[in-house]
Amino acid sequence: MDMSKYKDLFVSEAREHLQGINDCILNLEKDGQAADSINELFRHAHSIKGMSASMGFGIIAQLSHHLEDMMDIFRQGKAQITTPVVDVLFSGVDYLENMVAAVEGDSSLDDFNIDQYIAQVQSIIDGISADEITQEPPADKPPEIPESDTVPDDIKTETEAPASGGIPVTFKVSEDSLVPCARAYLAVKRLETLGEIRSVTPSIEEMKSGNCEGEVSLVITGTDTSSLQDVLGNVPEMGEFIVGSPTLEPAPEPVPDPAPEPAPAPDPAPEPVPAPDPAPEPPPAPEPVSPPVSQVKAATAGPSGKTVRISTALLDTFINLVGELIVTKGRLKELYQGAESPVAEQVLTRLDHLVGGLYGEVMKVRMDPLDTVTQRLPRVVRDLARKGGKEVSLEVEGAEIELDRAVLEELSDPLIHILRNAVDHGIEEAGERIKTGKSKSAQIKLRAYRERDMVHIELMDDGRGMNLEKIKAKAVEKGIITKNQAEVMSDEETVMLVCRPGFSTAEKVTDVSGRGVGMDVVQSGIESLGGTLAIISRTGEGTTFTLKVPLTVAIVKILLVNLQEHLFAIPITRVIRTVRKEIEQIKESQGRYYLTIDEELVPLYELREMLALPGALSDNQLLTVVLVEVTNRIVGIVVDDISGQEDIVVKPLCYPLHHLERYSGMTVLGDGRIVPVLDLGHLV
Amino acid sequence: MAIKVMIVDDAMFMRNMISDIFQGKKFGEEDYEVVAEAENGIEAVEKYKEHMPDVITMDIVMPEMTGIEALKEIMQINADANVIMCSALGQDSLVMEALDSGAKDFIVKPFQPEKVLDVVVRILKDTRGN
Repeated sequence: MDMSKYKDLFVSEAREHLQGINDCILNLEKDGQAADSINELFRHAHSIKGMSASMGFGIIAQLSHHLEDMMDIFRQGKAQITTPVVDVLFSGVDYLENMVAAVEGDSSLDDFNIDQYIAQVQSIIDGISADEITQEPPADKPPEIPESDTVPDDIKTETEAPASGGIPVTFKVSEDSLVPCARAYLAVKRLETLGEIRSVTPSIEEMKSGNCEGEVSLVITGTDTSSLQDVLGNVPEMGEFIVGSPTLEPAPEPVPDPAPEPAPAPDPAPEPVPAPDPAPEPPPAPEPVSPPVSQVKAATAGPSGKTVRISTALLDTFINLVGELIVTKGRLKELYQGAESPVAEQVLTRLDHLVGGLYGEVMKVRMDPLDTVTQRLPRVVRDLARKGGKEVSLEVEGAEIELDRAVLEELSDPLIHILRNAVDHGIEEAGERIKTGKSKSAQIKLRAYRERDMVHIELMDDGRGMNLEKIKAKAVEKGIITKNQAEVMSDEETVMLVCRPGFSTAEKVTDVSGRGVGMDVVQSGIESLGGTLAIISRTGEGTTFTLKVPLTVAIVKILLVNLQEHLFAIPITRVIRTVRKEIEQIKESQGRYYLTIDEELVPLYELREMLALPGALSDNQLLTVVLVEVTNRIVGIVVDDISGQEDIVVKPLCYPLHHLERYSGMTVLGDGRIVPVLDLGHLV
Repeated sequence: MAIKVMIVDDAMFMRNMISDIFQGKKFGEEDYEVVAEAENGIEAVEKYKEHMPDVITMDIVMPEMTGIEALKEIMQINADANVIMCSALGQDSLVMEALDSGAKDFIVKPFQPEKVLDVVVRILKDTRGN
């Protein structure tokens, strides 16, 4: 069977299980006896085993089989999960993640060597079993056979010589049967429907305890040889059988032609090692190459609620086409405006509804819960904390909020960077925490909530907070601000200095995020999404980072502004409001213009000047000012006029225009006009 | 008439694979039709009542309600239901428990399409007699 078509599904489903395992281990690290987590972990490992065996990924099946085995021991309550076990579990997940990544990238699994790892797992299992033996009576004592209520009364379990009058039956389950005992048991049960089984070897108990090779002898009364042959011949995976006389009956052909059986999944028993060493580092994951696949619940689910999987690239094409459709609809509306054609109006209204509905549905498909980004963060925090010898837990709230996948993709690196800063710098050593009356274990809270078209994500730590004097000194030293500026700077402005380019240097490349980024990269990443980043820090109490990002970036609402004969677009998520002011209300100080809004001095930027167009501020008596939020400040952008609001699709600037940093992209209006979208972060 | 099949497994991957095994195959003159899929035992029992399928493939290890518990409930509804357990290696005792509880047969992961069909055909022959 061609398995390649199942690959994507295998990868995405295996990843879900691996995430599940990760969550379980994190729970077990807190409570080594959490039965729910142990059971769930067992189940996840079991599912991965079944899936990978079906795909022919023997090594993945083997590793998950060992994890399952280990969990089975803990499931029986024979021992408690301790830190070394947690480490071995985590390292097993890492192995599996890397293997799944290799599968995704069509790389070979042959390069993975899990012998050492399996030996570790085995030594844990052996260690627990050894403890048990010392506590319990010797295992070689023959077990007492309990009266099992599932054994039918009419099957005698003794193995004495066949009683006279019965028909002797011997059968052997096919050697390629993976579970010969169960197969033999099934055959015995079927024979039992024909008559009374007098004796059976091995005993039912032996079969049930897996202690048989699939070869069974029995004596049965109350039936005839041909019925016995019929029944045995109809048992799948039946090998040779003898009924009555000692003539060997070949097994009848199975109904469809059986294919040659592959070797069963290998199950080596490696040499136990004396003690669980620190888990070996798994090999690095190969880069995934295939495009991500999205699982989509079809809107009109069939009788069994079937789902389909399509690539995100195809999905993005849909979104772009819907965007074009919206723009074209706008153009059509403009053309018919004032045409006084009731029919055209009807058709346009209908088109409006249809396109609106289509957009709504397509957007649903593009949305994913924040959880897709945050689910791996507890593990990230745990690893960072362990490396730094700290105790930190991460609590996530609001992970169910759905956002545009394009936004989610841009959130992962910033969140990890902020968390790394928090764990490395914000959170104190345990000793220092205790001295200042804090709990030994630090808390980071990620809280997400929706506010209109924006999602707010707060990351709060309870660490020492930022040292404002140090920040100022460093900023002066790096030449980011002058000494005089530092002296008059407010606390709010001071913390934001960490986002200035050049502030954070020598950023180490860590193995957590994979690449070193400074806070300036974090901030510009968030802002290029049309979002904002704010930092509030309280000495001794901790720091809160607040990211505000738009729900979607597929279709953006923009404010159209006029400047001379040109038209520009400003993303509405940035706009606070627009005001009109007489030129006399403008204040000037040191060559800069300001406007008083709500008793605050707001610096003014002339769009004309920023874009190097001719003219002067005093050209207009009445100034139109768009108040926008840029890098945490409110500034006023002076334009000639406001032309309206529109939903647009932003097209990125491609070569050779990609160097135009003042613009985040272009859009085409319904009437065909091309309008640049301003990137305020780069302009102000 | 088609042979109604219900597939119970918590992994969509597995459900798809089993479903594909029946694709385009026939039992005598009859097509197989996968009428329902369920991802846990509770759903399996509900969908069994709704569709009354001719054949059920039932995973053993599932969240919410295990395959064996679901099997027992289905046997309460219809003692003749054709339930085939899907097991993984090393689950002999669970398989035998399922057989005691009324499962007609079992298949072992990794599945080979021919073996799965073989088990299904034998059971159908047994119960339908053609």
